[in-house]
Amino acid sequence: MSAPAGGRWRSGAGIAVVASSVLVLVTVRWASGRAERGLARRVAAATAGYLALVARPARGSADYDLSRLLIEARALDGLPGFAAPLEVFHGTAPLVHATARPLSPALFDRLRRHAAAQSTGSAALAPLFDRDGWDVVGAVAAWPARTAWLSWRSTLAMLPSLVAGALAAAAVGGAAGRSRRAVTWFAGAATVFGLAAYGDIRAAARDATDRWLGDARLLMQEAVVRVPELRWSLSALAPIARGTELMPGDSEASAPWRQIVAGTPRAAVAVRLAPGRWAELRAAPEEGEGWMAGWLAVTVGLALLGPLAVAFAAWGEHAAARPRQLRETVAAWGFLAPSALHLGVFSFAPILFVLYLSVHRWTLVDPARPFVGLANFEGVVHDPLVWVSLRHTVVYALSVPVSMILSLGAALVLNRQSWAVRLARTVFLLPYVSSVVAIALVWEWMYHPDFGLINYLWSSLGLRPVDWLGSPRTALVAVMIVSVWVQLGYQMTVFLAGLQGVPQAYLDAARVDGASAWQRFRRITLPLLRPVTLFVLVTGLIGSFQVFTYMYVLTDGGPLHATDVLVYRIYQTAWQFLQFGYASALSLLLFVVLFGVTRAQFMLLGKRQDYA
Amino acid sequence: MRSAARRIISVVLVALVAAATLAPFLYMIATALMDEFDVLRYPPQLLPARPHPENFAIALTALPFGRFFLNTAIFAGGVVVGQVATSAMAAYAFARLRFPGRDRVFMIYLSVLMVPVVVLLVPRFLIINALGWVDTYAGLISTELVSVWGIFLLRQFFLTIPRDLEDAARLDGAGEWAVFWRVVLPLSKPALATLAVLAFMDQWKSLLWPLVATRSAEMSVVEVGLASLHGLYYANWTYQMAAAVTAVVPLVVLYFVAQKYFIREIELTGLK
Repeated sequence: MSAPAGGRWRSGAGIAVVASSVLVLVTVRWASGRAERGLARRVAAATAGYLALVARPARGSADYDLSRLLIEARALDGLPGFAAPLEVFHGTAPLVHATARPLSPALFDRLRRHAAAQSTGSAALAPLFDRDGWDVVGAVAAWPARTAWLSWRSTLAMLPSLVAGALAAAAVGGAAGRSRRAVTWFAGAATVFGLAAYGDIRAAARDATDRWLGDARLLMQEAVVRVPELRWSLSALAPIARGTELMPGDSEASAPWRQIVAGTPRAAVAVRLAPGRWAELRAAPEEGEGWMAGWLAVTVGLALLGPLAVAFAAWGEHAAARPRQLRETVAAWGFLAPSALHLGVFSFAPILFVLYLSVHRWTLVDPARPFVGLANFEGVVHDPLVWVSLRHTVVYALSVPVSMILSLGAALVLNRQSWAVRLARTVFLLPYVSSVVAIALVWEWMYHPDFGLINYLWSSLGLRPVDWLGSPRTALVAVMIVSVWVQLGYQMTVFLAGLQGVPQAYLDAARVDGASAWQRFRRITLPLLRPVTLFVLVTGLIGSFQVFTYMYVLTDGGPLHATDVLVYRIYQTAWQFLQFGYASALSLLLFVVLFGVTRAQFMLLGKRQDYA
Repeated sequence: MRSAARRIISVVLVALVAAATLAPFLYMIATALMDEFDVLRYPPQLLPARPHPENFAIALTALPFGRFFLNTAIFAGGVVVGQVATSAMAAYAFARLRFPGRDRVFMIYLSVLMVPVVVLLVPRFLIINALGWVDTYAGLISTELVSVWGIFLLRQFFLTIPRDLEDAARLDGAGEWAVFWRVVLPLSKPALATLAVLAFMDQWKSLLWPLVATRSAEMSVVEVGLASLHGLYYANWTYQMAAAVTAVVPLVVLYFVAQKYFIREIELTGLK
């Protein structure tokens, strides 16, 4: 009974292994085909622009002289290095290959109405405008090149993935440990395969950009040969390559190259206009477009479907024999679904998104959001304000240990005095449970340089009044005092609760042995209080590294950036300067700075779950 | 002798800390009742010459504070309902159900705590922006509906509930949902209340997320409104303090009503 059932799970896993590989292959082919189709569309439009420049118009009309257009169109076919298969139509009549099928009138009509590129089943069709750029008098069709299924690189990556998948599928129903190991190997191999497939897509995009620039260069060079006066005006050549930048250049390189222009990557080729006269044609490289990262997610995700299916099959084979466990698992995921979904959308996806944003120039106003590599991070590292705010953040965080020492001292004095503990709980927690902005406001009022309570007390001590929040020398300390005031009561209450866990018997025994108060604290209380202390420190540091409200209300990060902290910088960068990419790089800096502390929190909780 | 000395030190200490804690609050109230001449007097006045309760009416109508309080209540209330519901469900799965990879999944949940909330601020804003939820309750509330901390808290609590009752219910043929709803939840009311009270307070106090997720005055919460009032009436301390007192009162009332839940959370932090 169980053997055939196990076989079913196993063969299901095998099918899933093959299916996920096939899905990846299909995706790569579709994406590469998409790049080719995009290339064909652009080549068709470029050729139409070229013809409009070089073909002479008929006398007294904006339409072209048919014989000239025929000659120019035929000449394209023999252009050395111009590889794209093309057809030029005047009206609906084909010019290059006289025997080709004419354009369907319906399609031509659509082209005229929309005056924009259309695609037929196989070809990309660009409208050919008359010399005035007014009416559509013909069309240029370009056919995308056939795309290969796989590069040698992806093939090399696919084979181990298939082998590992076969092994993992065969292990379904075997020993649990062996099966798990096999699935892990399979997942690794599948990830490599997904990455290689992404590499193929990227290479296809890069190749399409290069060939597009090469074709546009050829057409431009041909245009200046045919119409020599074009070489004096770069803007006259612009219709050949719409959406690119053409500028005087000095490079004579024959191959396209990549460079960073004003923080955004550009693909460029050198165009020879006349002896000694070169121009540079630049376009946004397709492989640098933002959605490329989406392909990475798609290919790796599809490749990982295989291991996922095998793991599921292994579990299913195991669980089918145990209906109770199956029921419980289904129920558990039902209970977890809302939170898992939410964490996926609002925590894990944002983590990936922030990584993505940090390597792009991303504003709300500009729809172009180019990949900029590490430029944002470079900006962060070279921005003196970032270092200033980082320093202030660290200094501000010192308010946590300061208030911890104060609150621990007070808690030690008040320990086991029940009336004091009760009072502490009632009164000392008030700052912690109050509105943060309201507290910031009352402190700002008390810090008032002329009428504030604090300066009054200060000068009654015979000291000179201080502009607490208005002077760069005192502003940060003034904010830290507020923070200590807020934390103190909370921490004291936590320590008082923690001290109840220190057995009095230990302390009494130590006293009998002649230990001094300091020794008892140092050797007994403090070690026993360690988890509590660590917890207060860690959560306090995490909070203080993310301080924002006090700065926003009290100082606006000033004066002279004296209270500028990282979160304030992130807020300003994103919501006042609208630079979301740069702000993301900044928040990753905060993440790195805080990582040790947040990791400690994770470990503390992870450890704690064991003894509950 | 020693204990007497310690008692005296304790009394002095408590008196000092209590005075330092309460003074800003009392001064806030006193200033809220002053008129503009009391405020600009030197030495500073500790009490108004004559109380001016009308300051409250003026300050609270200078900006639509009624609307701000309503928004805050909807925001904090919505988040509380969401967090309690999702936390209780997830915590039940982690504490009571056996499924493959449970501990690993729990660790993945906890790993969210390794990412500071501020790191998620920009992408979360862009997500609600893409959904067209900026300046809506949906945008304000949706990102906060799950609290890993709350899941952890409730899981710890569920683990302390004896299993016998549940097993009895299971023997009677109750499904997991029925066990959760009829047995576990009623037994966990104190823990649920603790989470609810803390979540409510946290959201009430939060400024940064409401600041970026909303734009209009109709959608502002109290903290944002208070900060705007500060910008508009920066020299008028009586109005600012009147509004501040009003913002503090609901939280303090909540604190006194639900004090044992606050303390319970602190004790969980301190003792475990």
